[in-house]
Amino acid sequence: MKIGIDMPTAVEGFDGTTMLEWARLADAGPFSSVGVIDRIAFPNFDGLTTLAAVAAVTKRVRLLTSVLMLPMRNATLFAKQAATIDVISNGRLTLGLSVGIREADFAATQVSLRGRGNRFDEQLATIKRIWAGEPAVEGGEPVGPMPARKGGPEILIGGWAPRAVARVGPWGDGYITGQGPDTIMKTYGMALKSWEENGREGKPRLVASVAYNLGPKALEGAEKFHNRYWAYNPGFGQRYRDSTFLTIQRIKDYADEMEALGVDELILVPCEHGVEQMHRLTEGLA
Amino acid sequence: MKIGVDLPTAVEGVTGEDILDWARFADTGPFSSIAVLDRIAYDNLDPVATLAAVAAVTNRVRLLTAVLMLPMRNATLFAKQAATIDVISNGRLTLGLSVGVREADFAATQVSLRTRGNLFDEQLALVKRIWSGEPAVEGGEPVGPAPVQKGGPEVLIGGWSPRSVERVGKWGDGYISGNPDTYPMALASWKEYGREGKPRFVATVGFNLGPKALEGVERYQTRYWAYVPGSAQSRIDTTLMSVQAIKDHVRVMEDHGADELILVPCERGVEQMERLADGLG
Repeated sequence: MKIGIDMPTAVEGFDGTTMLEWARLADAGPFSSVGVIDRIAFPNFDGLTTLAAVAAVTKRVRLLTSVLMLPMRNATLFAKQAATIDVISNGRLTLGLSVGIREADFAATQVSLRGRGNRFDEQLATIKRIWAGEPAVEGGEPVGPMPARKGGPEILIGGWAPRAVARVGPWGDGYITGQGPDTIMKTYGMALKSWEENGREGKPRLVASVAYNLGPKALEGAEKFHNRYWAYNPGFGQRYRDSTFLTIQRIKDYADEMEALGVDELILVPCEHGVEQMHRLTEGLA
Repeated sequence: MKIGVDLPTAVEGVTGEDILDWARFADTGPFSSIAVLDRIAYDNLDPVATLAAVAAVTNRVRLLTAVLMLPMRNATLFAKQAATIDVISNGRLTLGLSVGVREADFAATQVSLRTRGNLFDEQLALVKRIWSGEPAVEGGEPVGPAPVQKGGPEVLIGGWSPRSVERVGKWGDGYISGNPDTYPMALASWKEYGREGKPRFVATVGFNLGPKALEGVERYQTRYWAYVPGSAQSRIDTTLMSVQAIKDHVRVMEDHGADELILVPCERGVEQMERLADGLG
């Protein structure tokens, strides 16, 4: 199983210099992907912009949105930005995409939360058309550049609702989730069913993510991060804080468990922005 | 006067490697800015993603959109992306912004061309609010990150119509245009809004150097201006094809009050920038 790492783009005090250091270290280390989360009404770095910068200073790692909410975005402009990052990175972009749920993010972009499912479906169709070289609208001019990967970047569908997971077969190359083992098995079963119903060959790639924090003040750092990140939903904050791994042994055990479940890649999400968090992980996993 | 250079993001066959080579070379060379143009229904690289990549491999040059059309974009998402580039580049972002004119770009994004002027005004107000740390909507949460440049990236207004140029005094730090004729209007707007000093004036012009300069210019301009039949020839005629012509143009624009001239390439090979750097000494 591959191990990827999220960038601490939502950690307080993260800056550009630290960001580039994380990117270079991840590329030189044992990690398969560099991920970015997506929020709008929050002081995190914009995910796509961050991945464009990461693309420029890395050669090997895949660049992952884990996950990006599509309905707030203009699908045509999103398709063009994603294709550009795919060109700059020479085909290393993977897009985890979801329908989004936070009211504050929809409000800030003045996009309706209602109807987001239908909108997401239409957008997935639009971006695939654009990446295939067809115009965004009938009779229009094509929207380039052509992505480096034929047909466009790899797509992982995120979400837990049956309707969300049912998009894996028609639109996805895989499924991405931040949930624990029981939920993963249930929703991945649904993803497999959608895959088969759509006559796809093989099986959808399965990517899971989990938070971690290592070092002498690991708990304190994890609490600080989750309290801030989940301020809009303290119940979620409690849950994610409790499921954050604070020792290398717990991470290794969880990685074994995930591998046994058939997970193809595990993304570790940091709670602090210091690069020592990556060093501790690299040394511990070696 | 400062000299900046556009990246060949709209030249056929441009690769990611070309872009990063140009960016690194420009950062170590005599250039003040690296600029990107904006089109949507065309096969150019996206300007925002490109500048983010350039930010990561440069330390000195300013990063410029020359120019970016705002009305097709969601202003909140644009403000967040611009602020992120400003953070990554440690405050080197300058945004040339305009209202846009190509029907194909509006059609591709399904945004109305008719109301773009009012929309642009509202968007300028919104992006400034977001950059100052206020919520995008009343009662909402702020949209970070906070830009490194206080109040947000430098804004240059583009466009030639009176209504466009009048935005310089209200919203801009300067004016960007290939044509100096409208600069007096920008100055008037600046005074009308009681601004001190004068708006920074950034000019642009096409260039191509080397033994097959004309051939390259014809290929690029014919392709780029295909959407306005009959317009390519005048673009070909005004593209500078010798170092002497560039030096002369620098002097002319300097006389018009330009603070910076952005040279726009027609070919993607980095030797174009090398010839420019050698010629300008």
